[in-house]
Amino acid sequence: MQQGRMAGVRDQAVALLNEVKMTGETSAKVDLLKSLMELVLHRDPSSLLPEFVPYLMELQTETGSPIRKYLAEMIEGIGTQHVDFVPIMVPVLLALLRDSAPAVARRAVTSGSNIFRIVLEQVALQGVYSGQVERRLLDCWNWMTFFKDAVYSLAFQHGNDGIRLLAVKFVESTILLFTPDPSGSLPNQQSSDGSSKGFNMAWVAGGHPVLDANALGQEASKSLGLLLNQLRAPEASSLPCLVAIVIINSLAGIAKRRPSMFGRILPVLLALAPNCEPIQGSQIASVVHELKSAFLSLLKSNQPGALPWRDRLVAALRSMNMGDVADQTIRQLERALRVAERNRTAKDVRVSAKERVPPQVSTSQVSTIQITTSVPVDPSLRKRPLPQENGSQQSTDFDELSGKRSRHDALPNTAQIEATPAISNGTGNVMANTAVFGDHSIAPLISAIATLLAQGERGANSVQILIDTLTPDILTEIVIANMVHLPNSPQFYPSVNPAANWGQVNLPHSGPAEIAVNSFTAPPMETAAASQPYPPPLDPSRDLRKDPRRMEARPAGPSEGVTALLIPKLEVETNVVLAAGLSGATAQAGASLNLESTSNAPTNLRDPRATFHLQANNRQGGPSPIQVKQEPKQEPIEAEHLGNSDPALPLSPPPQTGISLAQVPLPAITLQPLTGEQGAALSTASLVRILENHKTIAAAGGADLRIALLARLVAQSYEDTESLKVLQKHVLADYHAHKGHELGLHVLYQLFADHACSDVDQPTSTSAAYDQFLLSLAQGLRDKISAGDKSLSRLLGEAPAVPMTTLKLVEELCNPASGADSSKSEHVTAGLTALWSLILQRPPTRDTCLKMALKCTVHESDDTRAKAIRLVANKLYPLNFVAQSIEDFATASLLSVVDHQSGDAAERETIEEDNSGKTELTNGDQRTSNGAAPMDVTVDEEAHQPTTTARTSEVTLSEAQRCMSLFFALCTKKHALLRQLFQVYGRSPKAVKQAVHRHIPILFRTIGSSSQELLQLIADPPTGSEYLLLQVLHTLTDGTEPSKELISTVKTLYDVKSQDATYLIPVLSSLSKDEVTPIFPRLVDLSSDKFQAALARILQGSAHTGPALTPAEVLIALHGIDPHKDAVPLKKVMDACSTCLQQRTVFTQQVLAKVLNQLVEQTPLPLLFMRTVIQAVNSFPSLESFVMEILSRLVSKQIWKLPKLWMGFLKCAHQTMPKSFHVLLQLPTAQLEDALKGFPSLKEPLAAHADQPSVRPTVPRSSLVLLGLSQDTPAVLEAAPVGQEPSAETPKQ
Amino acid sequence: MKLRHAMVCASNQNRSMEAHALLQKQGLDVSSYGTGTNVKLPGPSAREPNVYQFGTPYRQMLEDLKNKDPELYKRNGLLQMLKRNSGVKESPQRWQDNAADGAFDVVFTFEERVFDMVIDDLENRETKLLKLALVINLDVKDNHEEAAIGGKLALDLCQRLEMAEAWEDEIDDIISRFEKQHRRRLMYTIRFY
Repeated sequence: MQQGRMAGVRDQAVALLNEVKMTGETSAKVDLLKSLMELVLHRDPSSLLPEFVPYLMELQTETGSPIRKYLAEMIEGIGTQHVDFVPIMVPVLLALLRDSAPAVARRAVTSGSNIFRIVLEQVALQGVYSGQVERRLLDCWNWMTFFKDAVYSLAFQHGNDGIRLLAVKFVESTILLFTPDPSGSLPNQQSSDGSSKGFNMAWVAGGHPVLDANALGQEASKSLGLLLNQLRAPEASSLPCLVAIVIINSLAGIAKRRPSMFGRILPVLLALAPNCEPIQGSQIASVVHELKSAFLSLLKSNQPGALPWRDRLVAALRSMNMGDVADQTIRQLERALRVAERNRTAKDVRVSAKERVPPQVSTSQVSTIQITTSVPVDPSLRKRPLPQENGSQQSTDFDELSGKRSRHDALPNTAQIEATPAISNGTGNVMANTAVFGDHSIAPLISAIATLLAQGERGANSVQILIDTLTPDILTEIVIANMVHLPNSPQFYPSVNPAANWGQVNLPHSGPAEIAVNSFTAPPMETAAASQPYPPPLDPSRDLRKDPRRMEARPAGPSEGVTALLIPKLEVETNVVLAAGLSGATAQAGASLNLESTSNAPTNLRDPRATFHLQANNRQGGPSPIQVKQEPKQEPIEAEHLGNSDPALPLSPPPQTGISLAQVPLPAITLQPLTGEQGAALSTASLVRILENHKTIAAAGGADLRIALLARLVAQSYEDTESLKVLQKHVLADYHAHKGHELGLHVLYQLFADHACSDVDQPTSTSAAYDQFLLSLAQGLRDKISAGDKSLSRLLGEAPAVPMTTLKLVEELCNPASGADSSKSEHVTAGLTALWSLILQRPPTRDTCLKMALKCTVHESDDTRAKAIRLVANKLYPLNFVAQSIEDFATASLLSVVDHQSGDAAERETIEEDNSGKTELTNGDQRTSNGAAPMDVTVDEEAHQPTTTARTSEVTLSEAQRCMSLFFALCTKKHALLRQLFQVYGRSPKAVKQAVHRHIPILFRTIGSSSQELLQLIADPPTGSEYLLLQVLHTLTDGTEPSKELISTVKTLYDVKSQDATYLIPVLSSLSKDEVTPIFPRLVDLSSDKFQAALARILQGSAHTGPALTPAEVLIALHGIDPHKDAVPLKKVMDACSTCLQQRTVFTQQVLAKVLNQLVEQTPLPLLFMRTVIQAVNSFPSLESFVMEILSRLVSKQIWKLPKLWMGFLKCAHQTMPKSFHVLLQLPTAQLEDALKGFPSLKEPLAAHADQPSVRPTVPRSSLVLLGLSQDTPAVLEAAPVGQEPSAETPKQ
Repeated sequence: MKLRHAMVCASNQNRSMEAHALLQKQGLDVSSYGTGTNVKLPGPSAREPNVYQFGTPYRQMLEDLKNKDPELYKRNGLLQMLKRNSGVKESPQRWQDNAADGAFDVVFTFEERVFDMVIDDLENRETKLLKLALVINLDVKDNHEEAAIGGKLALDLCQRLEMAEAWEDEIDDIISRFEKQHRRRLMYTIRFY
């Protein structure tokens, strides 16, 4: 059904495309194209796009520019969503760039720009994640490079301004794309930097199979040079103001986002001040204004690179009469700086207050901590009124960030180390902790740094120097080691984090960790400024001086963090272990992507560039959630170990790490062993998180690998049915979007493989898990099934094995409980489709499935049965390997009703037959699955059980139909089966016959009258099937012209076999007059109703030749029948005549007159002539005078010589008196006398008639005598001696 | 070509609404905004302005002022203005919050300060569509008479832009001709949505 709908969509699309071609009007075309796009791109892109894209590309030759413009738009729509088509479309796009209509070219630039970015991003991601770039994508990239070059040429040459604007913008965006973004967004992160849209060249900095970061950077630099040149004399002199504005704006944007380019851009811009002299144009004021706002925004942007330029910027602004604004800006910046400074101090003080938490607090005293912290008893806190804790503090700190940032930029200090994104996560990574502290090599370094930091500002500078000398690896370790000091509760963050970095804190860096480490010289993130263990440089409180040791310790474990950590306890544990075990690098790489660290790890193994990343993972945590449960056990050792190593550290203020561990009861918390339930809950939760991240992975091109890993992961922990359930839920939540099919199959194969490898003796738990998973997946699919959804069939078709339980499910699908609502019909369809694909694809299950399908073909529900029959007859029957079984079943089921058996008996028979063969198959299957218990259970035990339905001895009509439908359907496919039907027809009970009769019209119209098998059957019908044959003939000829073969076959049948003209009736209308005439007597010989039917056919004739016989010819033929010669009883002929004459509308009086006219000329006269005359005159009294004429002709033909006719003549004359008087008077006297003798009543009126003066003279004298009108005429006596007596008797008047 | 216009002043009351009403009457696709933090209307004295939030219906302001001092506000034309405004749209809208309204082709401001704020705001938005936006400033004093003139000028310029085959290619010309004809200086720039 889905296919049908899709086909419908395609038809619609084709129709639209044709309409587009036919329509002349441009706007109408565009509208049509929009509808077409809707269909092609949104309704069914996967199947329609490949077909339609080439057609759409042909539109480039359209004359209407709006159409070409819309083409560019379509290219964007398709290209951004389906990169595969880029190679086809970009050539068109390139052509559109050179389009004569500027609007088209503009749109082409825009479209291409967007596609460019998408392609670049995909190429980068794929390279980063999989270490290689697929060929097709590479192809796209190459095309986009062509496009880029084409647009570049537009940007730097004089032509259409509007196009140039966009081209310049494109150059800007490529410069931004090709250079690393120091604000450091990583894959998956949507940065606020609009033009780069989350993509950062830094991703590929570590190496990429296709993209060479250096080369691209150089290219960007070159493009920048070209842009800058535009603003220099002499180029600038011919620069339109519009373009100048855009270039200035672009350059300012680049400078702001890429501080490294500041030094190149600013001199050029500054050279333009104050009046933009090199540029000439009417709108120079606007250009100047643009320059001003560029300067201002650069001044405000507060880039570290901008600092040296600040004075020159201000000077330039002054020269442009913007001095006051510049000063104001500077003042604002400075004020912000001061505010930041103050706030920072305040925070330090607050920190010092907090560190009053008793250091000896341990896990068992958690509640005490809370109390202590929530009741601020410290006097210093009261002395310095601070903004309230957390909540309101947050807002205050947002305000201070700009100032703080600038200060850090100016005086880079240790904060930068600590502030590298790596630490900013705050999940309190215990695993990281243990791992790092296992490594002694860095311990001295850490303590050294701590010592330096303790010295405040002065020491900070030294730390900076120290850090510069460290290798990234060691630095990373130091950072990681310090991560333990991060508070666990994210809500602590707002209070210490600049708002600008907030997003990054929530979604911290993931992916290649080297970025985070290598780029720490870039603008830092003042993540944990407050928790830095160095004394605040300004205004330290008295307490701090008094006890610097405590001061340092304090920030390591902010009490808010602790509080959040411990309450509730279980949750904390969950947090900790989750963070530790699942996302080993969470702290480093962040929640969003890092959940995939487990699945990424193997990828990275193959990718040398990612070694560092991997290292980080391994170091920090267990790579797989399965290991989570074991982690806590390692804890005590590590903690102990730590404690031991502490005293060994050099004499100095105790290193922050040690203190923090002592004071913050973190390790103690993690010592809690997890209960089995907790462990399970954790691994489930972690699995859920992994699953939820599918989109990002898919975007990165690693979906396939992810699926494989996930499947392995889940399958390995099959004992944990929960994880299977979770996966199953995920898969079913959105089967298609979640790649449910692929994922499910992977899991199934994994389980299956495990099972195959497992020991035969062991309990077949994998097998059970396999069965259960497949079954529940199938059930889930069933519940979600929509019309035409093939998911279930695909799943069953491709799963490694299909156990009986699942087949049962399919069977249930196909056999909905009676009375089920109509929505179940989709289930039936799905079930049958599944059966079909199983039969096709899984030979071992073939017979079982076929049996199920066949069972459905005799299902009680009409709907189910119809569907099943369609499947079996149309799809399965043509398959050689099942055809015979189907035929056998159908035949058996037919015979069951024919022979009064119960239908199930027949079924049972076939099933049992099947089973014998099947057991062998099962064995074979077993062997292939390596001796393991067969998962493909092919023997349907239940099928042996006879269904115990009470049967009435009489077969009902519906029962007959139920069992015979399949057979009929097969007959249409294999006509030879018809013979069987004909053979059994004769002995069938009435209901069966009725069922057959009902089916005949459809069946035989489908088969048609030219089927060879059917014709043979007709030529030689089995005995007992005569009625059926007739029905068939009627059906075949009803309303249609029977084929020549059929006619000749029927004639043969008539001639050779039966001599029963009945068979001829159906084809009569197609016979010619010459053919009908010889058989006409045979038709007359049929029973009256059959003759009537024949008559109708004869008269009706065929459309081509007209009626075989006209009504007149029919009557003449009737009269021509010789009862003796033709062996037709006269009675039949008479009846036939009567039948004809009853049809007054056909056999009209004209027809009769014509017939009589012809008949009367015949010699000898037909036997029934007079009878017909009498009947005619009875039917049509108006024929009387015509009949009189006939009668007088008969008189002249001496009718009295034919005794039979003579009687009729007299009868007729008698009936038609008085009109017949003058005919009677024409008779010779002797015959008149005869007539009067037969009908004495005639005499008197006849005499009266003859006596009329006008008549009398014409009457022969002898006749007058006979009538008693004249007496003495000897002639009369001579002529009619016999007539005397009657005349004598006649009383004279 | 059908362009989308945005009229922008500080409070989305007088100048932008005058132009909005006029352009709308001429069948142009137009919206209007203010760039201020609040909507400010003159009060009894310069130090006591009436301040409303953006989004407060004009009708509500009208009722409010009527209740406060119908005589004063009738005299200085505020009531009539608010009445006109309420016929054009429901309530004043803030430029900085209009991201959902989609990309405009032409953004017309009536004050350089507003012009700068619009530019600044556009600068801070994400460039996604690569769609050109022409930002034009025409300085107009914030009183009813000047606003009426400013509105007509805005209409004239917008109609010229609308008539152009592609304003991108002839904007310098269009603006120069406009300046010459009306003896008013314009400022413009280009931004990308």
